[in-house]
Amino acid sequence: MQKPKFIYILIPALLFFFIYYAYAYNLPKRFLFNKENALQEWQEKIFKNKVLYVVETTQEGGYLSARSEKACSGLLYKISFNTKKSPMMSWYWKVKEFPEKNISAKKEDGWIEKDDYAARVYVVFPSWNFMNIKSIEYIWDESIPEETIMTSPYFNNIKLIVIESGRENMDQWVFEKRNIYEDYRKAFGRAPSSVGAIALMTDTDNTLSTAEASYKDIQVGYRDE
Amino acid sequence: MNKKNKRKMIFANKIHREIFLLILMASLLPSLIITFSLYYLIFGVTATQFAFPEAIAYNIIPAARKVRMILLASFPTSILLILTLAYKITHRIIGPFDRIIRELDECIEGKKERHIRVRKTDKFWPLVDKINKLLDKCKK
Repeated sequence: MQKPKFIYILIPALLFFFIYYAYAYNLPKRFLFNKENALQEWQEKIFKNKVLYVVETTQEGGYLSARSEKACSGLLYKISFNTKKSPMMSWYWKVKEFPEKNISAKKEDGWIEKDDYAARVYVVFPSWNFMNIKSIEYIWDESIPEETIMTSPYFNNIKLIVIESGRENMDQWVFEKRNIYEDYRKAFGRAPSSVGAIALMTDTDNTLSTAEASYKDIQVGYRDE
Repeated sequence: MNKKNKRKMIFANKIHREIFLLILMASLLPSLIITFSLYYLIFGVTATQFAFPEAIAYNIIPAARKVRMILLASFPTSILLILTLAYKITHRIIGPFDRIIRELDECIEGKKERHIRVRKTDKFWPLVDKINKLLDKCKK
């Protein structure tokens, strides 16, 4: 008996829909850090000494505290989503201590020596060619004005967006809500590919100082209603 | 000089051209596949492990650029070297082939009575030597 021809179209189409819905099934993803084992699903990447990331559970809800002493390590969570369909990301963060960026050293040293931030939230856009990997980093800096978009001293494909500046809101929870799609377009001048991971980092390896920050209630991959 | 004659000057005959093409493909294709696979395996997998773009930019990209420079410099040079050697060797094998055929044709047509001549360094010399002995035997 001859097989009907439409089966050759139906099977790949069904496969495509299954993959597509499996891909978008976990969205939006929310990280509450309200359980002791909340970091189990995050990967820690250590680059220079270890930043102390601890989940603190309280009655009001949990949070992730980060304390860096001349260290650089980050937490990464692999998640794939289309930023055009689910462009939003939000979180709360709090800075207790900024890295010491000596003003006099600023003129003498290069930018890499100053590339430390109390709190960073990464959105990573991977590529099959690793040289095309791109990322935007939302940072809270002590002195750079808000909404400044900078290129990383390490790599042109990394754009740093200052979304909180100064000590005014220091030691209190600040809510951030960003449209990843629009921020990427502003930073790179074109539409983004799919997100491959998000990451958090508090680092002080370049300034050889200390910084402390906390993060809570991170939500990614949703549409602003 | 027309295009056909020009091609004839580079390659002695069709077999010469085909063998040369085979050597070209045999040297180019596997080396390209291996280079690409190793490049991807080493750098791609390491980049996935590093995950953070700064770490990739700081640790992997400079090394990958260096490797790419070395590849860009050495790959065409080595391929050119292989092809030059291949051309010279195949020319020495295939070059006399046409002459043997031509001279054999002349022998068959009875235009030629003397021996077929090739250089002793030619790869076909043992074969031609045997043919000449056979021709001598036939004359008797």
